[in-house]
Amino acid sequence: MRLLEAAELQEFRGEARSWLHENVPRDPRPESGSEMRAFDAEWIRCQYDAGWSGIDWPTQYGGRGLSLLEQVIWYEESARAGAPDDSCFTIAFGHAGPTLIAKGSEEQKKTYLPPILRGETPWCQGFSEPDAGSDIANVRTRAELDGDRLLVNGQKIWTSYAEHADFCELLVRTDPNAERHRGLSWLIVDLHSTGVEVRPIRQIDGRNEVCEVFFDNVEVPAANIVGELHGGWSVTLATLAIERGPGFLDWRLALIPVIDQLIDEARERRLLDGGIGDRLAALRAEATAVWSMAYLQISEAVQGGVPGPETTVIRTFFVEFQQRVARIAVEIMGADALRWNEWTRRWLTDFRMTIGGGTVDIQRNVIGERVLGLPR
Amino acid sequence: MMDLQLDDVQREIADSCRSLLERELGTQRRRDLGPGEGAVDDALWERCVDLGWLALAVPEASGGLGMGAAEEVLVARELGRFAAPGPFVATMIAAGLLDSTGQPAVRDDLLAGHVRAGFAVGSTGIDVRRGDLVVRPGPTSTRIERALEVEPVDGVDPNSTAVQITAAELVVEAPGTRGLVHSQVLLAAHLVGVVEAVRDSSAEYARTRVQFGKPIGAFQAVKHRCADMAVSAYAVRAQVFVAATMLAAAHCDAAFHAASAYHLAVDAARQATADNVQNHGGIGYTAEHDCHHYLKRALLVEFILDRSDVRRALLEQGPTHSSIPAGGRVGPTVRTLDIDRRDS
Repeated sequence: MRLLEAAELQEFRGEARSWLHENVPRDPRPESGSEMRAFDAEWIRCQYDAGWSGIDWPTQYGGRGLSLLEQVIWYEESARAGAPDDSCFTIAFGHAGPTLIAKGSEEQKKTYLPPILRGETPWCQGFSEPDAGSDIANVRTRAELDGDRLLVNGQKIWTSYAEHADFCELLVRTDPNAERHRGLSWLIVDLHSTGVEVRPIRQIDGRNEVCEVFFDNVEVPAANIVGELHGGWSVTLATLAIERGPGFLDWRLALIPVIDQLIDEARERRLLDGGIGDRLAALRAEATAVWSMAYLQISEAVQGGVPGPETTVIRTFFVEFQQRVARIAVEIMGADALRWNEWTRRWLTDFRMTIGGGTVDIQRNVIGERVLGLPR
Repeated sequence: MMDLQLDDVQREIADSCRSLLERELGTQRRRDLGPGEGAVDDALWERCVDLGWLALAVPEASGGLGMGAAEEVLVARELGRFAAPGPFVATMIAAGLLDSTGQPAVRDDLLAGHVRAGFAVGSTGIDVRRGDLVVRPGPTSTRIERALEVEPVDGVDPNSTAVQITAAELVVEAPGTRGLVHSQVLLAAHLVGVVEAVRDSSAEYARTRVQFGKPIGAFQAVKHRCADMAVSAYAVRAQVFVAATMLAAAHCDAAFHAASAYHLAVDAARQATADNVQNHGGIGYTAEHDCHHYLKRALLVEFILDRSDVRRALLEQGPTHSSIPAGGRVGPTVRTLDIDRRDS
């Protein structure tokens, strides 16, 4: 437990801060359509050209080859500079890319990682199905091996940004006779293939970011299997560990300046003396704890450990915290919240936080069983 | 940047502290003590003095070990894990303040174990005997007094002794926030130990107590309460480690992180110690079981410091959220994020 005085890290932070100050997009992010994808792509391309894309990704695939520490500094500075905190490239950077780095073949890494870093290929996550939500091992979408290709049939749901995505990380059942965790495979699927149909779903926040994706005899090259055939569960666990661990650190850190904005807003509306002030003080402490947990987690990860069950602990804290932030924003606005606006939309959007990626109820079971050794 | 892993020396401090407390102040020994006998006797106090617990953060030139808050929080956490008697935390605070305010004679008395220092909550002294020192942390200064006359009162926490301080004299008034910040960090660390202890106690009971033909930990209502304890234990530990690291380095964000740590720790301990009683059911309601020791220790720590100071720090101060001191400055923090936004 000690402060590290590393001059090169300070220098990195200084460079990041001044570059972001000059380059963060000033225009608001379009809410939908091809303009949104174009906006996200342009912002990533801009970062790539200046060497800020894939800071902790290996250099041979276009990354900068630095450590998680530099990546975290980048997230902190991005949040501080008010950079866009959502993107249709979120899965590509937070999920698919790190999974391929961990589990992909050399050929797969060379093919798919560089275009992600250049902002060319949004990905989406094809895990959930109508009957496989939190119980993800229950997936029924089938993929049958036929020579050097697979034929995929089935349906995925809750697939964010599928409308805009070029590729899907698809979890399928390749061996229907095996015990349910053993017959799965993790595939890279080109969403422009024949037989793929994407249908957006209207959400409670008025947007339609999540989609249903249907697969009707979709041909996928066998070379697109990541890891072993029928070995998809271990790849999925790696993906989920990234999702619940260092992945989406940018989201976690982005909330810190949001609390400061809310305190200013409450002060202007003269709400800071009462119960709202008490709750904002508590949220500020919680935001700080989110930041501190990131550092505790990184301190442990730097020592070479894989993300363990503490990642689920952090996620459980964070998702409920994020919902409290959005809720108090609505209360600060009062009746203004009844007309569509950024904060009310965020409050509604954030209901997904305790549902997606496994409900928080299931996360608590996982903590009880894997951290505390309680019986199932 | 911070490395929040314990180094070898830090791990050794925590381990040796834990094994001594286990041996000397473990639950069985405490159960054997009658009311009011829970205080640490002179022999045990002296052993802890010899181990250097009270002098960890005092400079070597002043007779201390020359370490810092990072090492102190590890001791405070173990003390909390055992809801240990003895005014260790307040004595650590007082030793630091007496050293920095140029009171070598009183400091040496304290470091030698001749006198102890306890916190005062209003006119109530905690673990303060006649002639001992009293620490009163405040937002602009911390007062250290000597208790001249004390009268026993009926305290709620079975592992500390409460007195009414009827006569006291000022020893020194240390200006600034140092005493308060230091107290917030060490008391929060103490509560980390409390939360971890009840988390482990609840989990152990939930694994073994059988009702309706299965261990009660299989029921989600119980499992989820236990999980929440694990979540808050991790969150508060992370925040305490960060606050201690920053305090040890005199970082400009230390005060903000200390307030965050105390706030989170008090709330976490209040919830976890109450849930621990519920998880244990009937046995948790009996004075025979440990549950109430932790419940009452959490209550005590909740009232030692003024929550309005914490609230003010959380709303009005601000972290730079950069783990590197901005320009190496050490001093009061400003709302850096705010200023940035107005500029842009």
